[in-house]
Amino acid sequence: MTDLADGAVVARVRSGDRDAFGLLVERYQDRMVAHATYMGLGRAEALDVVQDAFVRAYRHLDRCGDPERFGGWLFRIVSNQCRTAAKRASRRMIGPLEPHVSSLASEAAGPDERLEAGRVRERVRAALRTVPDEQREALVLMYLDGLSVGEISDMTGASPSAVKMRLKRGRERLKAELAPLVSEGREP
Amino acid sequence: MKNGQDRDHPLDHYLSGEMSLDALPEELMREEVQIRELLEMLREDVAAPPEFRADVMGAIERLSAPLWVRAMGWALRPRPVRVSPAGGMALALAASAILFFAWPADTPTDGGAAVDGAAAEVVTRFVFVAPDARSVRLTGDFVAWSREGVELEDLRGTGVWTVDVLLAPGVHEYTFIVNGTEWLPDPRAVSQVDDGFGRVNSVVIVSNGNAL
Repeated sequence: MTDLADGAVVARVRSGDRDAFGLLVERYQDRMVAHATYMGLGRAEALDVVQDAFVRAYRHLDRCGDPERFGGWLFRIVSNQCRTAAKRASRRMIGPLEPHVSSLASEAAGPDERLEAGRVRERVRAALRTVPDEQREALVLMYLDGLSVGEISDMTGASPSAVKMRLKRGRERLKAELAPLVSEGREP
Repeated sequence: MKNGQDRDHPLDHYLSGEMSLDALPEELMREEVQIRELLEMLREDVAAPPEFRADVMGAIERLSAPLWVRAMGWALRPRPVRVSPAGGMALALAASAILFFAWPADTPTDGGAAVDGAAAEVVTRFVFVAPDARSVRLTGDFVAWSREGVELEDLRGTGVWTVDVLLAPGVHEYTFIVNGTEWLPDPRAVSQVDDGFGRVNSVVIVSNGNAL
């Protein structure tokens, strides 16, 4: 059954085969948890949000207009849940950014490099959190989830031009927050 | 023209997939690579844990658990719940202030279809005030969120739309559909919950003999 398309699995669930939904969970759980994490949620919160999204998807499966695109529909639920969770967490203090980071250290070999890489990662994460929700969502969907502008448009309901605008504004905001790391004269 | 507003900007074509990274002007390409590298750093071990599927299926299984288990789970679970400003007072005055009420449905005694062990369904009245509405329908988990739902009637032409519905005891989420397009929560509901689709659902808790 693992090779069944989403539409066929959804049909089985709708006909009363509750266990078949487990296949959809297994199929999408990693992507959804990753997305929730990239959107800035902590590990525990991301797991809660995604679990809740799956339960909602199950309960409201009749609202899934195109079962073949169950993944996109689920993505929208997770995104909505992430926004709600982000609003709840908006009171959380975000620590000040480090004044300067000298190296990306992407291939950290020793403890110092790993520490440095961790500091950069935290800085990027904090910078991403400052980007407005819709722009951050577009950035995450494109750069980390690997979706195209068209796919993001389908998923979010925003027009392709609106998606591109969000991406550009999000990039600008990210650049400003990470100015010492993203500079004109800096080698990639 | 500003960068973000110029549709002929190379970045616009690149984002559309019409231009490759290599074809971007050097400065822009370097910037794009840097942004990608930085965001790539966020990729870490973000996979779901091994027990995740079982946890989700367990939560789904509990949806059909006995009423008291579901009600307890619903009440104890941390979730965003909006209670109206007069929520506490509304609870105290529920019997008179809340515009929907319930009483046990007539249970057939002779030749009826009562099911052994099944809790009796409860007649629950839903009221929605919408003087300018052409139609109001009720939908919720008890009708599988059908757009057709159940039609409310404005019997006196005063804009007070009502309908009585038989509901099984339990926690139910619902909403009203006004004029066939506008999904609106019940302002008189005891609580509202996020529906996960960008809207808000109202909650009614039906137990044997009453509804809140």
